[in-house]
Parts: sequence; structure tokens; C-alpha cells
Amino acid sequence: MVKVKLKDVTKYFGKDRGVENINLSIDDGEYLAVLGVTGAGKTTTLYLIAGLLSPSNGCILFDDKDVTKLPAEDRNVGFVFEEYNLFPRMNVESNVLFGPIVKALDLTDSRQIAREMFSLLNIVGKEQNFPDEISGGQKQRVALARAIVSNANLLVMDDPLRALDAKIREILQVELRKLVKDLGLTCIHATHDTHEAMRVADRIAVFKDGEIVQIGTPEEVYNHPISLYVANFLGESSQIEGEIVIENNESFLKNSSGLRLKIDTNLKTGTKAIALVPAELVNVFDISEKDKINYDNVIDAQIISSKCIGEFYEIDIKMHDLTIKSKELIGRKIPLKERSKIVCGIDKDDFRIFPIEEEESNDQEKTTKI
Amino acid sequence: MSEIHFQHVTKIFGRKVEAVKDLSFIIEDGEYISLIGPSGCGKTTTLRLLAGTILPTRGRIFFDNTAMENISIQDRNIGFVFQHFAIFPHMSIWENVAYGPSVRGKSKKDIEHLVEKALKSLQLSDKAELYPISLSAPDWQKTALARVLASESRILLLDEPLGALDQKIREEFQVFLRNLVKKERLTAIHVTHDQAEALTISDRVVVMNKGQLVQIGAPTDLIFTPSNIFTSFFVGESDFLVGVVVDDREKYSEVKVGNNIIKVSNMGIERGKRVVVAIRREFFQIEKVSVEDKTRQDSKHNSLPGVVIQEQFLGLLKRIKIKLENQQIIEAKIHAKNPIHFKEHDNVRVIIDPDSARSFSYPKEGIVSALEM
Repeated sequence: MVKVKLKDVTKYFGKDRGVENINLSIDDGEYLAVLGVTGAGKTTTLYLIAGLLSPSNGCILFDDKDVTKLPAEDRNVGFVFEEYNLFPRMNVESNVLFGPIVKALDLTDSRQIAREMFSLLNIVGKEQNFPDEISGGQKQRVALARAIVSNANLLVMDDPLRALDAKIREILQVELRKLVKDLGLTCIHATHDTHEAMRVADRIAVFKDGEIVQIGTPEEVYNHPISLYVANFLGESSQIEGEIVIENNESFLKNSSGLRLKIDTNLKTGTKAIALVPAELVNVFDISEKDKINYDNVIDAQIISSKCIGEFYEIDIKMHDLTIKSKELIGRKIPLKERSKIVCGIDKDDFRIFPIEEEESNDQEKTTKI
Repeated sequence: MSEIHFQHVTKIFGRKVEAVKDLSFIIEDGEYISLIGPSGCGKTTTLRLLAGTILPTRGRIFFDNTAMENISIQDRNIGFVFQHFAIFPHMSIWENVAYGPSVRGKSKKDIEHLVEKALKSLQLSDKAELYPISLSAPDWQKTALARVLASESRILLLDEPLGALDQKIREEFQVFLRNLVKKERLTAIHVTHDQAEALTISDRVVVMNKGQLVQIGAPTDLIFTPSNIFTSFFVGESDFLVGVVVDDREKYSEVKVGNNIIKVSNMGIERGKRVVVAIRREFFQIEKVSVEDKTRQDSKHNSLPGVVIQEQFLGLLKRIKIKLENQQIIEAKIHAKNPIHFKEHDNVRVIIDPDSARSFSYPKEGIVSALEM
């Protein structure tokens, strides 16, 4: 119910950069996920929007009105924290009604809204319980009810599901999106979990080192990652280094072991590049199906190992001298035994191609090796 | 040798909070076991019972046929690794690792030998003189593990040991941890809230709910052949169809769901009984059908008719939400590259693989209560 705009917003903590030059427009009723690793600037951005921090530079607009100097309590923002932050000495109902009481809203109305929220969020019957008497999932539902009940029209959530069990997280992802859409709220949800971001959001903003590196719908960000960093961050991928060759108007990537992959790129012949392919786009087939399948690249390979991790098989594949990762949904019947001879089908537009120079300048992320 | 035997173990806190109820199972020597289940299911209590920080109210625990009730924590020969790194910040890595053998009164020479061997095993030898503050989180966990090895513990208890690490590092550490346990021939019991982690790292997984053991089995058993509704629900994602058994042959039973009959795995439930059919969402196959086909009885496929509500793209996969004829909503997970786009109102047939459709007696208390966590 509110349009949010950040214009050139920068925040420094002393000499340390929190975020720099954030330009972001969030539409009325939009669900935006803010995605990034620890320290990418997600929480700082959320605090700036909610008014819990003020920017060093730039301005923040709600419905075209400058709220940069407006204190947090006047912004009508509901905030949900990772660690719930419920008042331990108040029961569930008092926690939820705390906002309306402080804001001197009509309590009869607020109680009615709270009751509706309890039933929407499946916490009816817990009103008189104290926070330490309810589960983590229920605490986060109470925090959510508290954030919404005081007429908030913008909901800001800082990794709200991080502390919860995987199963509860999955259930709450669905509930959250439904609730936000049903109530027509504008919502900003920070998370480090790509899958969660894809599941809840209309658009995803990927943060790195205090800046937005890409923003778009889940499909755009996933299918067209702007850099090797984003592509790698979005999931498990394999990288193949080689040189671009153009023959008969078709582009290929050739590597030193003689692997020749048909790819989709505008890069010129001779350019050194990395082809990155997400594990789930490497399709595994029995060798007997080689002539029946229809992919731009059909490559002989061998299974190194496979394991079932729930909804997927994770398969390591030897392809020429490379190890390639594949993820296959467990519903498909495929060869999984070690050393099985297989073929891999990969379409040319499933490779994300990055020239190597770009990789060196863009991918400065420090990774700790085990 | 470190075989662990839980014999009807119950732990009651206060007067009536039953944290663990009648737990019986055996962990074999050298086995890697994970405990999973919703918060409050009794995972951590089970770990504490093993460690000896609490004692069972009823039942007994044996290590290699020795009853543990009179054996103190320090004599149980157990090593711990927690989520939050319990290493001493004022001691170097070498001193941290030497702490265990030194409190056990080992000679200086023995301590040196044990510490060096443990540091080598954890690839920490070149960091021995450093202090925790100059190391990264994975190295803290490695230090904690080195300390367990240096103490010559044969049983390793891990409580969310990778909980504080970022996802990518966490995945690498899982492989490292499993290899270490196998190489050192330890028996490991690992509590985690991350199912993928449990399935990746363990020989067998224990699913717990409300203090009870729900199922114990190899990771693939839990996924492909869950033995009850709760495991089907908790491990991965399943949909549940309610029906009545109308026929039972050798391998398959026929179950009437709404106005349709589907073939499912025969799990020994008699004709005429109400059943819950659990199907993992990855095992549904979805095909579009024309309006004419929709009304025709589908004898060729083992399927149910439905109407698409929504298709959601999730990168790794697509989720298709479908309303069945009986108004129940199910969700199919299909390959992200599936070329067919499903739109709202599309008529579809939901094809069910009978081998992956598990049928369970309809729970007396109802499905919702059976799935309560």
C-alpha cells in the first residue's frame, strides 16, 4: 500500500561502508527479496528504509514523499527481526497489541484485527501463552502479527525464517507470500537463501559488498545472471574454461581437452571465456538414449558418484577431463551407479558465458577453502 | 569398539514433560547417525542422555554392553562439537587441542604425540601456534574436532556443528566431516535441522517427533520408502490423498480417491479400509489434456484429473499447483527446463507412479494430528 524509493542512498559506519549508492524502486504491493551473503548490506538497507538508521547521503521516499528525516515510529513500517524480538514478559496477545496501545489506536478495532491475524497465521489458542511457551515458528508468526496489526502498510523482514527448521521454513514461505498478497502489503524480505528468495518474491535484488549488483524477477536473475558472482551465488554450477570459436555463424567454446560446446554468445573468436552451467540444467541419460535425445550438446560422460539429498540426486560426472555437477529430480529414472556410461544433454542457452577478464575484476569474493 | 544401545529410554523433565519417550535403537560401531525432527522433538535431549549430562528417567543406555547409568561424563570417552565454537580464546590452537589429553593426566610426550597427530589429521599443523581470533569459523570447528581426536574419544557427538557456517562452506565441510569420521573410525551422532545435511552425511538417519522415534533408516529409505505419514511429511515434501482400498493384488492396491481409482503400493491394508496415500511431489507427472479428454475415463494412465491453479518458476525447478476433482490442492515439482508451460485453468492429468505412492492406514486421530509437530 505504499511505493518505496531509495535515491543514491549511502551509509557509512565510521570508515566502514554499509551500503553505497543504492537506487531502488519498490512498487505498491510488490514483494521484493533482498538477497546476499552476510555483510552484503541487506540489514543496513532494511534499517534505512524502516528509519532505524539514517543515511549518510541520499534520500528515501514513500509514495513520493521524502521520509529521510521522519522518525521510525512515524513511518508506518512493520518490522520483523530474525530473532523475533518478542517481549518475554508479555503474553502473545499483549505482544501483538503493544503497537496499537503505544500508538493509541482504537483497541476494540485492533483486537478484532489481531484475532483475524491469529486465525490467518494459525496461532489461535496461543494468545495467553508467553513467548518461551511457544515454538520458533509460532514466535515468528506472532512477530509477524505484531508487525502488521498497527496499520503498517510496509512490511520489512530481516531474514525472518533463518532460525527455523527447514520444514517450518518451507511452510512459512508459502504462508508469508499469501498473507502479504492477501493484505496487499508492500514487502521487503532480506534473506541469504536463494531458494527462499525465488519462492516468495516478485523481484529479487542481489547485494554484494554494500551495492546492488542485479535486480529482476526470479526468472530474469536466474536465467540471465549479470556476473559470474551472481551466477555462482544462485546455486551450484560447474565452470568450463576455454576459448570462443565461431564456425558457420555458430559459437562454440573449446577447451584444452578437446571438449567443444555449442553456446550462445556475442563474444568474438579467440576470446577466453568461462561457460558456467547450473547443475540442474545438466541432463543425464542412459547411453542407450544417445540417438533419441534432442539437445544442442550431447556429450559422452561417466558417473563418478551420486547421492540423494532429498528432492534431488546430486551427481558428479566425468566429462573429458572435467568434473561436472548435475542435479536431477528424484522422480526421473536415470543411471546412478559409479562408472555408468551416460550421455549429458545441455542446451546452448543453458550456459552462462563470461569473458575471463570480467571474471577477474568482478569476482573478488574471498572464499575460505576447507 | 563403540556400539551404542538405547533400551526403552524415557526422559521426563519436571513432573510430566516427556522429552524423550521409550526410545529403543542401536547405533553400530563406526556408524554415522543423524537425528532430525522439528524443534522440541527430543533430538538434543537424546544427545545429552548419551553424553551423560542428564540421566534417563526410565530405560538404559549401553556402550558396548556396559550400562552407562553409573558412568560419569568424563569416563564415557565422548567428544563434543557444538554450533558455537567452544574453544578457549586465550589459548593457541596447539594448547586448545592439548587441553583434553592434559586434563586426563597424559605424559608430556604422549600429549605432544596426540596433539600433533590430531592437528595433522585436521590439516591444522601449520596453524598450531595461532590463536582462535586469527582463524576463520571452519578452522574453529576443525580445532574442536582435533581436540576430540587428541582426547582419544571414540564417540563423537555433534550438535548443529555446521550451523554457523555459510552455505557453500557448509557443504564442503559436510564431506570433510564424514571422511574424517570414517578415517578415524569414530561413531558419530549428529543433530541437525538441515535435512539435506543429514541425508548427505549419514549412514542412517533417525526421524523424531514429540519425543518418539518415528523412523530410522538409510537416507534413501526415508525418501523412497517412508514407513509412516510423518516421515513422508517431514522428509521432503509430499501430498496426501485420502481414499478407500477397493482391491488388493500382490504388489499394488487399488484406492478410490473421490470418483477415481488409482493404483498404489500394496502395504498390507485390507479392502474397505480408509487409507492415506502419500506421494512425493517430485513423483507426480503432469500432462495437459483437452476438454473432451477431461471427461473421458482415463484407463491408460494411473492418473487423477485436475485443473492448474498456478505455475511458479524457482530456478532449480518449477512448482505446479493443481486442484483435483475432489477440490484438494496438490503441488507437483517438475524440471525447470520442462518445455510445457502450464497456465491457470489448464486441464491436466496427474499421473501417479504406483511404486512411489505409499499407502498408510488412516490415522485414528486424523491427518492433521498425525502430522502435528
